[in-house]
Amino acid sequence: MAAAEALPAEERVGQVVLPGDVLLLPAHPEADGERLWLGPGAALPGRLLCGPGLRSCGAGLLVTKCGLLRHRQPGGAGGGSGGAYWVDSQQKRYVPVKGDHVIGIVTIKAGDIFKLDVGGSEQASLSYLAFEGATKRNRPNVQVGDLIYGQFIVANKDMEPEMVCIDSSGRANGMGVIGHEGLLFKVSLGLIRKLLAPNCEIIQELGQLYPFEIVFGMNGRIWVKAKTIQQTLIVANILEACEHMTAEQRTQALAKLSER
Amino acid sequence: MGCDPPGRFETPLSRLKRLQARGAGWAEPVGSLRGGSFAARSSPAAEAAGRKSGPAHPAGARGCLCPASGGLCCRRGRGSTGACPRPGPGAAMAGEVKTKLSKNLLRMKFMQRGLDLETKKQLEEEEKKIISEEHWYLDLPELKEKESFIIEERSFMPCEDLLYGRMSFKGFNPEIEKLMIQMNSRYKREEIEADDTAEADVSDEEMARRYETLVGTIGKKFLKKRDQHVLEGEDENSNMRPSKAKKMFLKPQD
Repeated sequence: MAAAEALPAEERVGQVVLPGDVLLLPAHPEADGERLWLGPGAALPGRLLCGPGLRSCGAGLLVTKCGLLRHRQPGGAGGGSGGAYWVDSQQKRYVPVKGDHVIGIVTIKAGDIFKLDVGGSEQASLSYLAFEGATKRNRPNVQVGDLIYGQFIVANKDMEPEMVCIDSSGRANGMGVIGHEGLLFKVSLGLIRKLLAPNCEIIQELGQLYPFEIVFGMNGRIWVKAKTIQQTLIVANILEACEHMTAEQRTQALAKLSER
Repeated sequence: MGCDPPGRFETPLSRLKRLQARGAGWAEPVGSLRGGSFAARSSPAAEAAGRKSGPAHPAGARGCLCPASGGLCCRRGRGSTGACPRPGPGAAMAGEVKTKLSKNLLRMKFMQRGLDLETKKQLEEEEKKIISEEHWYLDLPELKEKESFIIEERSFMPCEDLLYGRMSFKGFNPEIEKLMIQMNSRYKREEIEADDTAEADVSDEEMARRYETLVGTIGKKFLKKRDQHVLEGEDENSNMRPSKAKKMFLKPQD
């Protein structure tokens, strides 16, 4: 078997990469002493963010998932300067990751904790105190079968995932129990990321149609609520279908809908 | 019979001292007097021969009975037990036998205070020797830790700058719309702030000025009352004191 060539990472941005490919990074100058003298405003140069699908090996980055290689330039406004590389892959099965906001379904209510089904290999646990304004006497009103929007605080392969519905300062920020009506459906993970991208046209166009409310969970679950059931179903169908539609097809479909 | 010496009330400590002065090796506690006679067992030779070796005499009720320090050699509160390292009178009689206490005994806390510096140093050195012999170490060349420039991240959020997951359109849920604006602008503001927080919020000079006044303010709090008046007088530099309306308790009218 011929070994894969190790090419510099910049060359392969936007191309398909396969697991086992090695991406070379430009060699960093040995600047241990110099780095300390940088001014307070300058971040460390060359602090590269190695995103999902990539792992750092001796020579550079090792690809672990197949997909397209993406790159973000080291921007001045970005918190992680030095650029970022990651692999844009398609997946339907969710793996819990710390910090992700997901929609979970309550399956068990056992004393102090709730068990949520988040679509991963294990159920996540959520303590009843992890809601805004919850105390031992003032318990949140959560029943089995409720939908909860929360984020992971513990999510690794060795431990059971744990969720909370508050942020680090104790505020809910939109997390917590999602209302009773509406529709929950599942899409692939890549579509969620596409829809949540900063300049997503799909969402903007849909927003012109009807008033509705929508919650995206990074585990592939979307919850939609509109004024009537018909509108809810229309929005859900469009979202499910837009993964495989081109832009023109989408605008045509939306134009037909807005005529009605 | 057990009559006290005339004209004097004898405390146990004074009794012990008296007995030591007489040359007794150790005095028995009051309860075990025989026939009320204090003078019975006072022959030092009998002491040295019949009892354990002098240096290791047990301490009495108040402390140990070294004649040299008058019972204050290893003085404790109540409940002191243990041997006194100083050679007791019996040893002096027996002729300069060096103290031989076990190392474990010397290592105990109550013994540490009475020890000489030399003995302490010797103890420490011996302990270090034991530790260093048992101490395991790896016989490897020194490895330099490589500074890693790569941060591994499993989440897509920092890579792609995703928006907040909860959205509402056309005023369906006003709270969520407010939240949308807040969260998405906060996200962008965080990026801008990341560069600014490196600068100090307060300049150094202002910080120094603040601290000056702060020290004075807090210092005044801990002054005693008299000093506070003095301070006030100094500030005003005159005899006039600010008249304070003394607040009396006002009884509520029925």
